[in-house]
Amino acid sequence: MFRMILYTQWKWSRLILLPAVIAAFALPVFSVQVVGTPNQSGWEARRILSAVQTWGIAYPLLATGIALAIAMTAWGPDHRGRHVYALSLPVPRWNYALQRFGAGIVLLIAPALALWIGAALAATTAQIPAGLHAYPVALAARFTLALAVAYAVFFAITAGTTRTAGYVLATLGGIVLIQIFAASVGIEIQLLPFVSDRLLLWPGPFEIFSGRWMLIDV
Amino acid sequence: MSDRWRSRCLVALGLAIATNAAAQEAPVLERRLQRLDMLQRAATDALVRAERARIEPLDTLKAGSLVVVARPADAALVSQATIVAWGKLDTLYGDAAQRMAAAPLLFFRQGHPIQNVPPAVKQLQHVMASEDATVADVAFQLVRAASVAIGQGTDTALTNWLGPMLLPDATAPVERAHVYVELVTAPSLVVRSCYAGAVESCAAALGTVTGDRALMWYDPAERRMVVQRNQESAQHLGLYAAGRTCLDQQSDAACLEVLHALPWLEPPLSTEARQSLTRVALSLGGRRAFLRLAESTGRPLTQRLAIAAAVPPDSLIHQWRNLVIAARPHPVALSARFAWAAVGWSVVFGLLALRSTRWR
Repeated sequence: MFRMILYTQWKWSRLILLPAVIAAFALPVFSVQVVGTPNQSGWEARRILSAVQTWGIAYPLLATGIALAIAMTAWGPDHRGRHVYALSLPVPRWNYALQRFGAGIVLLIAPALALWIGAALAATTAQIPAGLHAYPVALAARFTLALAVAYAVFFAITAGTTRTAGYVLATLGGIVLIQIFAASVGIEIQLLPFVSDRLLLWPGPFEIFSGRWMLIDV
Repeated sequence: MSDRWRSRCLVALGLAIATNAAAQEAPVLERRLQRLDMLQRAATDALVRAERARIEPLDTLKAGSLVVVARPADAALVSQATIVAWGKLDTLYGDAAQRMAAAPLLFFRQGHPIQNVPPAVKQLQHVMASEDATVADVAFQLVRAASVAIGQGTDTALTNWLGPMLLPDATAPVERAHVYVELVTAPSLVVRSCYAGAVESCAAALGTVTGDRALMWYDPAERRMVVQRNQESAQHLGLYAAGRTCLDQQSDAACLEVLHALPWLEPPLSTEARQSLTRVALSLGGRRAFLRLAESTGRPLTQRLAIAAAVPPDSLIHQWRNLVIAARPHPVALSARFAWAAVGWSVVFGLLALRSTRWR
């Protein structure tokens, strides 16, 4: 049954996966385009770090985008068919959802692998000045984990009802509104920074997205 | 009564009054003078009272040698901040921080300057903080102001090299991590050599060694890049032609001509790197280290720092380099803990999906 679910999910998402794989492969390759530029001598290291840092923003964004697209396509046809197919299967709900989740995770291996190959290729071909080092494996591992976390989050949201998604959005919007209201009436509360710190700093779920995403660093 | 008698009577009366007046003139005037004097004193007292009423009452807050004058309404906040600030100042500057006893600071909130105070108070160095400032904010401002005041006691050579303020707030590992990145990326021959382990190159890169800086710090290609970055200054100095020759014909002599003419050539390692070296020297040298650094004017900077640290110059630079190399920042933060946390969260969100209410 898992093979069938994986196959159908592949059919639904292949048009998304193809550009995702290309983007994941190209991103590290593009990020080292400035490396080895002639006549830059001593300034090269600084230029490389600056360029790599600029490209670094794209890795978590790409991971989020791919995960969102795959999570949505995993549940899209079920939502459109009002889950009749899923309900007709002789398996419990959790089993079906687990197989959908697993199929999505398997599909995400492709962009993760593409990024690792791209990063390894970029690190091998670029002439990196002394003192700087390439970290293709660490970067690819981090990208993979970011894909997994983002996919799990979006999968959980899309698996629920519209009302559940509404609750999530309403909670986030409510926090923002409370912060704005408190600021406007002069009450000093740091709700938004508190929440974002809990989410983005250890042991928050999105810690994997924060920090430096550098293919080449000191 | 005839007119003649009337006029005689008037003359007699006039004479009597005049004679009487002349007899009373001196005591009367004396009394009047006394009254006038009393009135003047009363007016002066009233004026003083009025002035006093107009002058704002201020509190003096003290921690160690750090003295801060502030409004009574801010006293509690400033008192705590003064204790925090003094701790930091004393740790970095040691005995030199006692200079602050002679230079009190005047604190006030942004938008509420203290105006009606005696001139002696008004002349104190002002420290300002926002209306919603916390103890940490005020302490930060006090530390800045005090660091400037302490720094004013040093000579120009040291200030030019070190920058106007050596702040005690810097976190040493973070500062050294920044310096590590500089060691790897600074476009200079001596910096690369310093990174490779040459102590004398570190001293040169930090700008503590005298000599021809353009030759010492950069190779010909780097000199061209420095000239390119200083083209505007070269033009102002009337060296446009030399600048063009340097860049177009790659003439090193022309490059050197431009670089030698520049009024100031910044050392390849930044102020942050120089300050980190100074901090190492001060931490090694004990409480009188900063005083020794400030008092050893006229000597080369390497020697001054070594005197402050009470260790040989090479040893100081070597220790600084080791600390910087040890502070190498983690490039891609991906520890096992980090990875397991991500996996754990993925499982948690996955389980949430399995428990969806859609089919209930």
